[in-house]
Amino acid sequence: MHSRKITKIMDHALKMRMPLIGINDSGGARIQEGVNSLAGYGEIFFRNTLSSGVIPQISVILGPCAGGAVYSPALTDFVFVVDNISKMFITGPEVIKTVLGEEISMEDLGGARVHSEVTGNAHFFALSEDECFEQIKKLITFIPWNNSRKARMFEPCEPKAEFNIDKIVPEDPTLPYDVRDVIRAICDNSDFFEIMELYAKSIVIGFGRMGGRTIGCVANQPLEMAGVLDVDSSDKAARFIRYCDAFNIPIITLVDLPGYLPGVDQEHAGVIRHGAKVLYAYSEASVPKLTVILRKAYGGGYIAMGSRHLRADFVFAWPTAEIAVMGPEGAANIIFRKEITSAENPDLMRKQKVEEYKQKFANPYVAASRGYVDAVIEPGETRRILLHSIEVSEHKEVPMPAKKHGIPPF
Amino acid sequence: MEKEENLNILNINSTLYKTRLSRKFIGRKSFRPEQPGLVTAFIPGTIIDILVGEGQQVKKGSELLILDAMKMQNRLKSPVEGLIKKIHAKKGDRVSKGVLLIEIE
Repeated sequence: MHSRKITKIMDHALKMRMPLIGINDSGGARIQEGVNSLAGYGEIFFRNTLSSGVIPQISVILGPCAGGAVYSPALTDFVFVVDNISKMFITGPEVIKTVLGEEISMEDLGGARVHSEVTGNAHFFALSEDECFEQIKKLITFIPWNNSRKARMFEPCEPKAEFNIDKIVPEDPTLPYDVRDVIRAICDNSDFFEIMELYAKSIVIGFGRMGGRTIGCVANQPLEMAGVLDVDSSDKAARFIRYCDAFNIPIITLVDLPGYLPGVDQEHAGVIRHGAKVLYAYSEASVPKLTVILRKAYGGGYIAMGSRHLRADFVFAWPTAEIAVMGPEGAANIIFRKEITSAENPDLMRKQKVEEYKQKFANPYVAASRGYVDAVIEPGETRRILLHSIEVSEHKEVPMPAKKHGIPPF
Repeated sequence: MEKEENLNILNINSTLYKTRLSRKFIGRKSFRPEQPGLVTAFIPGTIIDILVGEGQQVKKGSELLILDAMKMQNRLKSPVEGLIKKIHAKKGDRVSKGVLLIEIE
């Protein structure tokens, strides 16, 4: 019965084309009401889906959210959780204990941390309800009211001087740095609103502003797992790209990755299928797509991270960029295997061949000569060039072949 | 750089990267190929009955034991033909998923 009250407001929000925020705190279906309570949920899920990509939908989990109830948040754009307060699971601990004999607490099964760090069901983690509400208010400032509008323009603002873009990225491509410092060095007021900070840390996503306009940022994070793409980071990036595309938010991609994470567990978890989501999301996105290759861009990772081939509008590279099929060590071992194994001093030969490969391929100029990179730019020019690129992309329009919709690798 | 804590080495295609490792990566299960003669519990449950004895010859498909789980009596069948080498469980045992129950050679 309560669902009628909820669906009434959902219909109203869609009709008025305005954002919908759902605050969840429930025990699940009222068993006494039988199938009517299930019907109620169904009506809510359908409307979540109908409104998806039309109006922003936000879920705030302020208590237990079990069984059916938990699918509404899953269908919304952003889920907010609060430490020790939020709980989400399909089957609760009591049923799991009775049927499977496994003992687990509500918090360990589906608490705020679990969903922020392990499952990826939550996008924002707060230590208190007040912090959560501040996060929601901040998110709203970055996104438009509905999909036929753009986000609110703010007063442009220079990044903070403490972020010196020339001093952040080490020259040695095997050394880490926090890519968020680069993002802060180019965003208005160095204000970067990170999303899913605790999940799949090898990629960073979030909102910022450039020249007063909201932009979405996707960036590899060399500080975590060398910035590899894997099952989880692919999911994280792909969904965010879709969100930005649905709500007219330009996407800036910062590239520095050694490729995909190798491993049997990755392969068996379907890294092929999940990785493909990123390719699909970038390809189908019709918002302005701007890419800056900071350092490494190897193999499939180069293609996946907003490359020209997925129709990025502008692709820039820093002089430190290395665009190649794989890193010099791996490549030299394969291409020059004969020379190395038959050499008098294999180690020396390997070093020489690695150096040779580096000279030939580990730079942005080969890609630039083919037009895969539009310009090699100095780090210090990045913000200015991106500002200009976003400005000229203001009225971008791309036709897509007529179809009801594609079949993304769900 | 103040973020120097917890840095490890990660090998990607022969290049060693200095970086932080994720908990999921550290805790990943290494692959072990399936051994056909090892019969494990595919689901947590209780052993209701053991139908064979050590030293007994079994055919492929012979019923070995009954595992009560998910409100069903699951009759575990032998995946291979052979001799029961060792039985690691007894009637009434509560077992977790993956526990080794019977070895057949």
